[in-house]
Amino acid sequence: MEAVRKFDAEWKKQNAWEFLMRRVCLVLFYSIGSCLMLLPFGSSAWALVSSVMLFLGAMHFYIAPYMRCVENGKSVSLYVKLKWMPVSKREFLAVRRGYLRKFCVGTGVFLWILQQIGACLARTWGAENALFPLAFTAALYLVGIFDINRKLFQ
Amino acid sequence: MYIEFSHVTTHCKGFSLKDISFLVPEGFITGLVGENGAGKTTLFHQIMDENARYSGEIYINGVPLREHRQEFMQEIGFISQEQKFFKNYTPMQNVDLLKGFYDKFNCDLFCSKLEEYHVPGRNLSGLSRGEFIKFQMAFALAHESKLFLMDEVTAGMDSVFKKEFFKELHRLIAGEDTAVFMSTHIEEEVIRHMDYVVGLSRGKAEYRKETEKWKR
Repeated sequence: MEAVRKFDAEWKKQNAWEFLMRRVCLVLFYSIGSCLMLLPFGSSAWALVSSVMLFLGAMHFYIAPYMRCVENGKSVSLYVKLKWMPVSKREFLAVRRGYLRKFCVGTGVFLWILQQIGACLARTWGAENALFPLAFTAALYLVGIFDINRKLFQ
Repeated sequence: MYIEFSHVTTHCKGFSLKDISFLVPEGFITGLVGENGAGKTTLFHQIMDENARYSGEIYINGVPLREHRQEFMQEIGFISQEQKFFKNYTPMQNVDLLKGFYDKFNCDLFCSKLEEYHVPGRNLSGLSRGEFIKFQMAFALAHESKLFLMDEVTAGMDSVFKKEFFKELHRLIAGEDTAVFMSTHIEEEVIRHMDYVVGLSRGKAEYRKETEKWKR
């Protein structure tokens, strides 16, 4: 797995501009999503749906540059590019799952804190405020895993 | 490093390889000939592709390939026209990205080979067919391959480099622990440079012959 991480570090270095642009989008989506997450669970369905969409977008911006590259205007899977190297699909996926886990754990803790603050300020604290961020993070992780596998061979 | 196909059968995209069995010995150049669509590239893919599904067994040094694929891939140099490298990057950028996958990658050797073969430093997408083959040859030599798989690499190669190329292959097999397995359509190459030849027709291995007598 060390070899895949080395590749990723070099990939990031050689595509610094693309990573930066995606990071800017990620921060934008993340910030707006976080503001909406300050609203306690159940207070606004619109805010809930919007924040879910924004965090899904943020996750996409985080993971996509590790999954694909663009050649001749076409998006190509990085795994397909590395298929003939001494690297297995299992290792390639494991490293990406690691990135996703890191993103989801960080997001989960952050959202949990935001929900507690929002609920306390609105004085509507309930068990759902503690459980919702956890359930949301778990769902985010599962969608991320599905997304990574879907992008592997395309 | 020798490779042995033992009753290899596979079906993919409406094409079948049927009961392929033969040996590619070390210390020799083995040719693979056959008409278009005979299954030459498919056969190479069975070795290279982690997700290839085949019955029978492919052995490398007597050990099943699928059990120790990653270890063997360290010493397999696959050269073909297919673009598995990063087209929008220069040869050196490709090496910086990919060298980490190999335990032994000799960057100095790679650079000296690029220079020797006159491969320009522009992006791979801007290289000619022949230059791309030279780049892959340099890459395979730099990670100290012991098994060279070459899928129709000499087509489109200039005659001066072709001479150098075969000289390099003969130098490699002189070490006796290296095997070269290459497909070609060019009869003259088979007669002049190859020690063994395997014929493939409609997914079946038809014959395996020593070519020594033709050379004489």
